[in-house]
Amino acid sequence: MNPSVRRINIVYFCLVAITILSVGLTTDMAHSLFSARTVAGMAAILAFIKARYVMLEFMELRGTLMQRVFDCWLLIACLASMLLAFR
Amino acid sequence: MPVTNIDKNAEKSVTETSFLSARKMPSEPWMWFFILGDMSIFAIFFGAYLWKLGANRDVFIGEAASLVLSLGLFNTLVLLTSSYTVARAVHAYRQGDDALTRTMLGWSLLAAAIFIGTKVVEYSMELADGHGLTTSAFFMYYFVLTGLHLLHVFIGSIFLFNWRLSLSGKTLECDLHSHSRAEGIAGYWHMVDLLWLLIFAFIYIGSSS
Repeated sequence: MNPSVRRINIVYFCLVAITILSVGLTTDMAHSLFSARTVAGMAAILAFIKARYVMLEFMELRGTLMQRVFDCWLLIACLASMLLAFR
Repeated sequence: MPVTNIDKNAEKSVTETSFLSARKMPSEPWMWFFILGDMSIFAIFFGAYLWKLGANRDVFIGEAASLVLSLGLFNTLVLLTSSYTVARAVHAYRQGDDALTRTMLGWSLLAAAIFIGTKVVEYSMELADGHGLTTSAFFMYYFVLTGLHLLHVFIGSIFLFNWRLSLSGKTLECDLHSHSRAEGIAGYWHMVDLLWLLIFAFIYIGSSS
């Protein structure tokens, strides 16, 4: 198999795994362990991790000059989301 | 040991080589700035939603409980799969494999149709339960954010359809054959996927009870 196709396959399965994992945050157990603010913050962090995977591997911006621009955007949006989620 | 001009030149050359050896960017820079602009509009909505969530957390959590999480999860997996098949389509297109490109784009379009169908079912369920655009702040954000996103899915589907049609030689838009255009369409579709990942996290999971 083409290495880049293999890479896309791995990233896809990772994204699916993180998505299913993130649904665990909606369970009673997660809500008994964490506050609503923490759940919102953790959900946002997992979403931004997935978004970065999409940007690097699916959009193919890894190693390009545009990667820095998108990384800055994602970092600012993630930090702002954290601040608002924990407010 | 003193640093000679030759050393300095060699160092400069290495720096320039590193800069130039950055991977070639898919599509055109303006396309990525357009995508960033579009994402920034959504980011403003996300910020407003999270601000309101922080101010009315109990109310928002109570109303979010009426959303069907399984449908949201299903749509997330559907859109992730469509993004994957679009990425595969770009690879196949670069290798000149039109048949595989058509197949992958066909799967992407099917996934887009399933996403739209599921969203329509979800909207129908919410409306049947008496939740509308003006019912509450939560549902206003829910319908505006997901509705705006759905519009992007629809527009992206038209782009994908045009790309697939151009492979069949049934359109006069020959410039669609260009790699840059195909990469731009794929980039737009991945943005649609990326935005849904954030919507799903903020509205379905982050507001769960």
